[in-house]
Amino acid sequence: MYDEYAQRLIELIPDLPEIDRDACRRALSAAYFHVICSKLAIGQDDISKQDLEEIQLLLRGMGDALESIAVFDRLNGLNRPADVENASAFVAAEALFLLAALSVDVEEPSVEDPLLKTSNYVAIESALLYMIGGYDINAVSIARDLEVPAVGLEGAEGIDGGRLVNAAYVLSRIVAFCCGEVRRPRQNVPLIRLPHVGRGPTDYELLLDEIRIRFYKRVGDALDAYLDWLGGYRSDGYENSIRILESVRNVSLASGYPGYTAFADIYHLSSLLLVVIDRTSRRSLIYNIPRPTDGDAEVIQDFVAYLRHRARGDKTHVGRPFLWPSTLEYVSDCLPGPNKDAVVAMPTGSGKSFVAELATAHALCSGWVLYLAPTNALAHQIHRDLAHALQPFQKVKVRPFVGWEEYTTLTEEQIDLAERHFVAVMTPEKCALAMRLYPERFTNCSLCVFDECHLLNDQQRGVTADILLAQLSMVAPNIRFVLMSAMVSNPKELAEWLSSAHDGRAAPKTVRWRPSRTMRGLLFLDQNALDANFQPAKTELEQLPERRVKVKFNVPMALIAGLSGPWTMAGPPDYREYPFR
Amino acid sequence: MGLPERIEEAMTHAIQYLGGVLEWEILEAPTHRTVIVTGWNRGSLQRQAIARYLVGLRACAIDAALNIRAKLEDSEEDRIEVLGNVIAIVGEDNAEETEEQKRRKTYERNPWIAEGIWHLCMAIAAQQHPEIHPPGVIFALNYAHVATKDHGLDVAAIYEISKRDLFGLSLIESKAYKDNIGGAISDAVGFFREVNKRKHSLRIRQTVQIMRSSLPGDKQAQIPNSFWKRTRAYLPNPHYDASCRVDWTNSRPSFRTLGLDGVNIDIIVMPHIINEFDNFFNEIADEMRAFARSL
Repeated sequence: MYDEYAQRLIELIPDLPEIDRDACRRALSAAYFHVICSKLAIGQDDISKQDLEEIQLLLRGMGDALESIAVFDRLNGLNRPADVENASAFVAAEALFLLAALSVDVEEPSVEDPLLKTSNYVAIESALLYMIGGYDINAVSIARDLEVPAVGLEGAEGIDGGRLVNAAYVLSRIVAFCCGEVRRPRQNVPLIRLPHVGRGPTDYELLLDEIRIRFYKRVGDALDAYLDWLGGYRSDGYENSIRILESVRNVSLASGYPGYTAFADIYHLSSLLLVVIDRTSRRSLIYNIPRPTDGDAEVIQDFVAYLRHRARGDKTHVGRPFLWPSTLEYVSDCLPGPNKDAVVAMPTGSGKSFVAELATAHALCSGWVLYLAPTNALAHQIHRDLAHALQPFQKVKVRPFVGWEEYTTLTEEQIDLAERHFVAVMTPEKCALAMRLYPERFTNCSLCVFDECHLLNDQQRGVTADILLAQLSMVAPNIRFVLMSAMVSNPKELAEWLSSAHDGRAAPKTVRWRPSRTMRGLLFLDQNALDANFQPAKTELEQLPERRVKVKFNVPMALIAGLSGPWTMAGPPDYREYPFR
Repeated sequence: MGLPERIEEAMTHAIQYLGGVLEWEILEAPTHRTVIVTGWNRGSLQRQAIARYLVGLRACAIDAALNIRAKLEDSEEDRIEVLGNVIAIVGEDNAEETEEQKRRKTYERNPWIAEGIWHLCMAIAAQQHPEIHPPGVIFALNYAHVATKDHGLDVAAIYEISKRDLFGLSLIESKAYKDNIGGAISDAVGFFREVNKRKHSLRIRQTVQIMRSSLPGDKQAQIPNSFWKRTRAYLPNPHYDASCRVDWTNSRPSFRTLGLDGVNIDIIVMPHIINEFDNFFNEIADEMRAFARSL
């Protein structure tokens, strides 16, 4: 019941003895629905205890084995292809997360240290594995549920207090990392340092605590360094974080003392962090977007500030330090420039607008950008979002052209030739009018973003849009197009058409990746019961006073639901029906 | 000879010496197998060897921890203070005049010694006599759980299952109950049941990954497959007084409850039958203090 992209990931996990990938996928799906049904208090009894145990066993096997592959194989020099590691990380994250959700009734000893609490650690583990797999929103939803103890320095008395402060700090940094919160200043207690205790008799238990405080301090430092790097505050932050974590990992291994496992958790956490930092650094916004190469020097200079601004966010907007897989492909193929046209066909919520924003930010260096949206309401929203996102470009204004008057009657709604770098947001019809009146003002248009481009297929409005694109390619010699839609099923054909109609350089971008799970369901009625009960109810209603317009009657209903994407076709084991009561 | 070398020599000697004098017998029962290892308490030489190994275990753990701290601080390693730490476990003497003294002996000292002895037993199995550990050849053995704040498992070993390119995990649960064998088995089964219910999954995952690093390079690649196949051995290890009689060839219904579909679980009971239970632990404690003082 996973979507096409997630199913491909499941197919990518490496061979394990007698593995049945369909069984893995079904175990994940069944666990997911069981968790959902438990929350909704429906159909919990529908799955037998034995089936549930079998599912839990499979999930545990998947979690353990695939985490081992995604994280520890690489660190132990047993390299696997990156896509296999990503797939393993995603499936391991799903398995561990669902296993934890199915195990809420497993008793957990009370521990003060939040990093030693099993449920916390498993949540951290699955969130970090989701980050490795590129499913950031799943990581955010897990991290947001983690409770970070509010411990001030006043709570840091003695070894126990110190350990608690540092553990809470590390947890808060992990939450910040998963949620992409890289902006300074951070409201947190500084990590406690310990003076060297000196020589002499050593209480072993005290020593373990003291070491743990020092380990936590280092892990916290490493996370801070990385967060600073992601936010563009420190260029050496990445190297520093890796260096610190490698040292923590090596030291916790206690080489020379094989089998010393007192800090197995630190070894495990530092290993996970090393891999997640390595993988997420490759999709950091600031360091993976090529800089514009041609155009206005001042605008180009502001581009770096723009990336920082977007990575960090501000008081009203969350930061976006990581690129999603959907964006990465566009970036590597079409930037700097954009250097080719693109048809971006991605599901809703998977980052199309950000692809358009990055293309816009690049294209602004060499001209102005036309942003087409099918409705005035959407144009307003795009204007609002872009105006905020592009703030760091001092010379750039984002102008909405959404007035109800004729184009020529409002001077503020005219494209100003004196301005070279701006974004004009309007509907295709509005733009067609402007094109007829002032075609020369489109000469310097360097990019046309066409949101909801399936409008091209609209019986009434499609022709206008089609002609507009043709005119734009005629009057703007250096224009590039980004056509976007979540509803285009033939992006390849559209790209071929665009390529032949323009300059032969167009690429279809058809990532089917979604940032999180989406459930799609179908509620259906028992037709026989409906037929049997409808007529008596109708008769009853007809006998009632005229003011009565409805009567109730019962019809059994059921829900068939799946994670978004096509239903799989492997037969009944892929479905489960739940009666509604 | 420096302190670490003396400790290492004492531990190596203990393994070699006891490996040469211990005897074992394997019994089959419908629900489990039993490996009875005898010869731990034949004379003072055996007890001395055990005591030295136990002191060594504690000293190594402290040494490892001090080494870690020195690396974290970039400073010189502190000296190991063995005696104080040995006394912290076994007490100044064997007195049991107060309730607290009795409690400590029963619930802290004896369990720790029992666990340490079976660590030694597994070390002998790993280095000299693989037949003591019937599920397979031990490749990695963790340190005994020497402190409550130690995050590792009690005693755990990774073993290779011959001809299957797989590793299994042995979990040893020691119980030192003088005359309550039923209680010891029941408590050990309780722990293994918790393992089945995934209560310790995280610690197992963490422990196996750190132990993996000590495996030969070509063997490390087998760990994911082994996780997947979920092969493991549960080793209940009751230490009890020889006056209690148990026929270990009888079925134990509680072991049947440990079965899990799709998991290969080997149950090997490893009883340690002790002549004069109290004296044995007291004498081991005396030998430990004596060895610690001599260092």
